[in-house]
Amino acid sequence: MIQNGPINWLTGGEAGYGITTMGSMFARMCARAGLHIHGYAEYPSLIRGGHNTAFVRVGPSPVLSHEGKVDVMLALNKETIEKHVLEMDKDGAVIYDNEAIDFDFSAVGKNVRIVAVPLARITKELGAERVMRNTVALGASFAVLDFDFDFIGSVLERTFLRKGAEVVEHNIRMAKAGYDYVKENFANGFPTCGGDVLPFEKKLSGVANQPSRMVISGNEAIAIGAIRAGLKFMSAYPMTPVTSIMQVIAGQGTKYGIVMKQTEDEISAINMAIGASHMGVRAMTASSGGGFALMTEALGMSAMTETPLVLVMGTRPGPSTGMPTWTEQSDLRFVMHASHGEFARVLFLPGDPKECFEMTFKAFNLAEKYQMPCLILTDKYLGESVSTVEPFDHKNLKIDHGESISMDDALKIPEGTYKRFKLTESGVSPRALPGYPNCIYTTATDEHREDGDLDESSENRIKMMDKRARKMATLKTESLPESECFALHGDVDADLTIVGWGSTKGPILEAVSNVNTDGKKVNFLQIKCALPFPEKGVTEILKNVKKVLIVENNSEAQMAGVIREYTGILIENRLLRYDGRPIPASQIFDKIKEILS
Amino acid sequence: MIKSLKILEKLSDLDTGSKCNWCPGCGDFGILVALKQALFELQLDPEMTMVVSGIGCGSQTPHLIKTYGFHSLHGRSLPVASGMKLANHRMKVIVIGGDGDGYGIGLSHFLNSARRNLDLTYIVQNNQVYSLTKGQTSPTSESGFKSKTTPEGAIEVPVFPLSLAINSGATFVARGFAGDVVHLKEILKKAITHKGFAHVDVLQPCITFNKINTYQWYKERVYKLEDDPSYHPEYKASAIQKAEEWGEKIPTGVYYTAERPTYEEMVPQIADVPLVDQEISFVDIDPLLKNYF
Repeated sequence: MIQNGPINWLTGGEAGYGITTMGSMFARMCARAGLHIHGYAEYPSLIRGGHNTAFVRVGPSPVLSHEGKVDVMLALNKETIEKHVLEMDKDGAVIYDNEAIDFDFSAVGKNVRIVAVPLARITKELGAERVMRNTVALGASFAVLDFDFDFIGSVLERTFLRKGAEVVEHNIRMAKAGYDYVKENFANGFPTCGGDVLPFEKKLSGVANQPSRMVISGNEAIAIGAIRAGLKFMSAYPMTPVTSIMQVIAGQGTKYGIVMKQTEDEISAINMAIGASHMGVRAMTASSGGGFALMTEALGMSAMTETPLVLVMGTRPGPSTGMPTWTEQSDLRFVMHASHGEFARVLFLPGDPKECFEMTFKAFNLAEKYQMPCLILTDKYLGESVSTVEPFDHKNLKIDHGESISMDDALKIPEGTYKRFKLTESGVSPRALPGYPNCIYTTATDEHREDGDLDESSENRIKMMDKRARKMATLKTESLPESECFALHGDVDADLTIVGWGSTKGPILEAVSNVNTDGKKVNFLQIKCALPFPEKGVTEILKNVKKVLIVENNSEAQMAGVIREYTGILIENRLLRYDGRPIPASQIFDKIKEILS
Repeated sequence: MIKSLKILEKLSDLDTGSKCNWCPGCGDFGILVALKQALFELQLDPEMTMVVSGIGCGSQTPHLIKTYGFHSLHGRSLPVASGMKLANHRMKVIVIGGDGDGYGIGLSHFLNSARRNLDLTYIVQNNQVYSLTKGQTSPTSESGFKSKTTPEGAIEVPVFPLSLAINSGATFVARGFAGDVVHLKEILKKAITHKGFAHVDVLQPCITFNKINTYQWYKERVYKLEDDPSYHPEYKASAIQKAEEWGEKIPTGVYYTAERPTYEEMVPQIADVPLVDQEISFVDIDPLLKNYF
């Protein structure tokens, strides 16, 4: 543990029993009390019967990662205790149903508190269905933490309001029953594994006068960013860890006028999105490695036909099926270079939900303005973890259609003169949409002339290749300067610079903020965009650092390779992890200490 | 906004002047002429018509008809066209491609498009051979068909595309012959005006790489379903039976028709205004964000 502040809460149970929902409810209850949270769920690729856990870290100041020993465990099955009891803090508490689970605690740390609550019996006595046991359990865990029950009630009220006042009251009654049971039966402390009776020292108290914060995942932030950007059409095939993007958008379809089409496969998904975009709507698709592999041919079609496309790629460990529900950063190179031939693309690397929102919004503008594919690379850890986030500042975001021809403009164009792929200095050709008067053209995936007709001559090929490539240069000067493609967190002058990208942002920032209190200075260079790569800025920083460490959730240090390619600088210190688990701040902290000692 | 209708005064208004690279005598010419005549006779506004193709000899078609066109990837014309239709269902969308494109690499899209029943017309230039790659076996090549990749003859049995279409939920299924342009044109007119997924398989002789299924071979075998007064295309069971008739006699004409709401009719988001005409200059996400507090 590197911080004393946050409390770690873990719940576990069989897959299919609402574990993730419980994690999310716990997180929102804490957020309502003005606390910061970070929630991470682990689950196997099974519908039922597997073991699921939800891990929530909560504290009075920003919580950036998944980290450390478990303070409170809420075990809904025996397997949760068996698998995680060794992760308990020495003064932690295990809440479990002693009438349903038989577990021998004698081998567990002597100070670990055992909180036996007959969850099933309480549920049954109140005449509730079995699933309500989760709500009783939530109430019990908040009682152990001495949390104000009012926050619990207010979140339950908001969650179930749509289902009517009766459902709200029922839920509150269940939570209160669990809460009161603990308060009444353990007023003098909790029995420990060693046979003592001790109070539970860690308290969870609300922070007054806090601005209200959202509890949101990276995927949700992407979906909302897309909706804000005027998304009209999404086509995708379900795949962990991006499925929730599809689901959020589908759920808002009728409200926002968005068609979310689930397709027969990922090939169809990307081709449909390109078809829709070609007609003039903002369109996107999303997948993970295996599905994205199927999309690669059509990715090139987006570039060749100069059709805007936004594509979200959420990484999970490969190769092949790999570990479908775990995390990794192993697809950076794949996404940078996917599809045959050479073409311009943008590749954003958001590091937290706020960046997911902002970069997704921006991706839609860039894709339309420059008529090219814009990709957003995330992973399971960023996409599916939730955290408390300040409300998105979105009032001033502007939709930019770029050089588009309106229906009125089209009426004035002499028939037969419009050139869809007109050679321009910027590389961007003013775009008229199918259905407009006077602008008939055919778009081809074969090499074509300015008017869209096929032409394989050497002269035409060079002109068109150069035209398409020029769009990237224009984009860099007009819309995506280097300053937006990286960020240096902390003092410019540091003893060690950590380089990272994507979902490691939170853990790195947390590790760095802890080191700085020890007197040593460590800063963090975050790469936010891989294409275009901010080569000047990154070179400038890296050539002046004292020591440098790259942190990546993969085995080949792919970003270190990219950096070497663009800057010529080799980063030798590497902290790499590729077991499907995120890198906790403590692991980064230990590595920093090792390098600085 | 809807533009004013563009009138086609003569058939040549649909000419593009693009160079065509088909072999002289190719069945694709017959299909192209029939399609242009159908569009002309139906007076479809070329500015409100989109012709989408895949990759193959016949997939050059969009360059040869003066409507909006999209020459997409091998096998992917149907998903591209489906996205187009969902984005702007006021456009007439016609999809065209070969047998390899539609029944081989794109087979899954073909079946799924049939069951989806978007208002699309899907024309397959079926020459039973891969010609752009210079003569290999196709999904509709007959067993024993010798080609450069099957020198001892194809082992698989061919697909029966019309029965696949009927079984998958297509609401209009027909077959034409590139050697009978007038008949084909009439079939295409029905297909294009049909509301829903209309599949037209066209027997298309490849004079260069298919020396078996020639114009002569077809002429000896094709007959017209409409000449049989006892045949009713509304009956699915008899349509499926006809769809597997191949050999001595090959039926042409409309095999099957059914009525079912189109996919786009069932999507409330586009009941009033096509997606492409919906305003996006400011999307208020505050009501959505409330769910996350």
